[in-house]
Amino acid sequence: MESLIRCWKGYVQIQIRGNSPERFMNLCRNRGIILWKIRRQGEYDTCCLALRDVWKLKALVKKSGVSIRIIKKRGIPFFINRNKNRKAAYFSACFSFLGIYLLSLFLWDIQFEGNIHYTDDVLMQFLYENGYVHGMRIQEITCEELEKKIRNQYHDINWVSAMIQGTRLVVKVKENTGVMEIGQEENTPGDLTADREGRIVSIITRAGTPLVHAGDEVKEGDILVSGMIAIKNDAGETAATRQVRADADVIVERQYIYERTFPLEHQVRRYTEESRKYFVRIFDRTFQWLPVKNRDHAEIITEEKQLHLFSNFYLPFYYGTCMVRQYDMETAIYDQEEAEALAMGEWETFLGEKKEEGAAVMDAHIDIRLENGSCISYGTVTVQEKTGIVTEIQPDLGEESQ
Amino acid sequence: MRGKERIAEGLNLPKDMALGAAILTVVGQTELYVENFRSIVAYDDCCLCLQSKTGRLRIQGKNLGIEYYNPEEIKVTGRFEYIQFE
Repeated sequence: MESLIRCWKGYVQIQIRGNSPERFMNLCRNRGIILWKIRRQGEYDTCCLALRDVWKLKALVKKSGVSIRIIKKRGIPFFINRNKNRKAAYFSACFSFLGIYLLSLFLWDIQFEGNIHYTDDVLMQFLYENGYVHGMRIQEITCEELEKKIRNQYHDINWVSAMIQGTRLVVKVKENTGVMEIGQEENTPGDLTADREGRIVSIITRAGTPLVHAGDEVKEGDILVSGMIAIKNDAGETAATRQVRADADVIVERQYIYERTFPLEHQVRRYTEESRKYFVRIFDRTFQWLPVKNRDHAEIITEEKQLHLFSNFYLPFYYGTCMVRQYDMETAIYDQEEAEALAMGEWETFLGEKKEEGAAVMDAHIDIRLENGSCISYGTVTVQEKTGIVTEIQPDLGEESQ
Repeated sequence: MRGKERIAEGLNLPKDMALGAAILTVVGQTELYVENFRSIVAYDDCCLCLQSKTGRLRIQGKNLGIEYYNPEEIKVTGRFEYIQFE
């Protein structure tokens, strides 16, 4: 810090020759002149002192009988004096500082943290629609208002914090990831109905009156478990009925038909050229060396970085690279192997989707053939899966089952 | 002990004020701070002699340099071999 202050105020290094340099140093000390970096260099001494003290040396030199010579001049005063004719440099420096100050009054970067379900693009679009854009004045941003708007718009965002850091708007959110969907009330009475046809494999009833057994064939709409429970008296007659929400694990076996067709002729990309291009973007204008002409037949991967002075002082200047791969579209035809591999891939995906839904695949067959320029896949898959949706209660059917 | 020293000792007065003793702070073999002294008697790159109120202080070594010299303090750097009171 002290060296910075010395540099700011300016200092000189002098050479002291004579018989009594110690007397000269003592006289300086007594007059309040601080000397530093005193070194013996052969026959003479060198030391540094502040610029403002140089004018006081004349009398001391005469008194002590030494001779001094300035060998170095350092500091801002000397720099300004050496460059006083360079007006353009001073003007440019002032203009730069002024420009940076003006840029610091606007918002140049928006960051989101903590968002999982809502992507940055979704939140950014919301901000744009509500007037929070890049390049707006920081003074116009009211963080509390923004937080309120986000909470009102997105109900499963529990907590929002918006703050301005430098030229960045940082929005931190906390989403409620553990919420169950609120659908039907769970205590509403209802029947358990089959959503598709199938053969009952097993039925474990927890609430309600089961109307089907293992081995029964059911079709869509058939009631599997009734929500009506008959309460019998000692004589075995129905004394009263009670309505409950039917609940059971009903496993059915059913068959799905799989049919897919795709043409053997297809378009394929033949890459002709790959290059890396650099660009600079200032506000919304992009400057690129040898820009890409034919963008319709090019894959472009852009990597962009934003200039910033400190961690939060972002500027509206961007730079980056574009990886460009030019291609031509060509027509190709799948051969037997390729077509079968593609068809099998789609078949495996279909089976995987069934497994993800919770079904156990019992049997699967597929037939792949090439015909009339197309690849036709036909298959059947037998699965055992849980079935049953709760529907409005049918009171008559519950009593009939007794 | 002389009278002045005894009085200073008895009253627990700081000796640099009461007796004008120099205060030396040595850091290893390379740095030395001296306060409460009068002036430099002689300076060379292997010998530095300081005058204090109670006597002289001689510092001998190699590559001796004075980092700063102000009315309150002097900082000496280099490789010290002897520090002698005369």
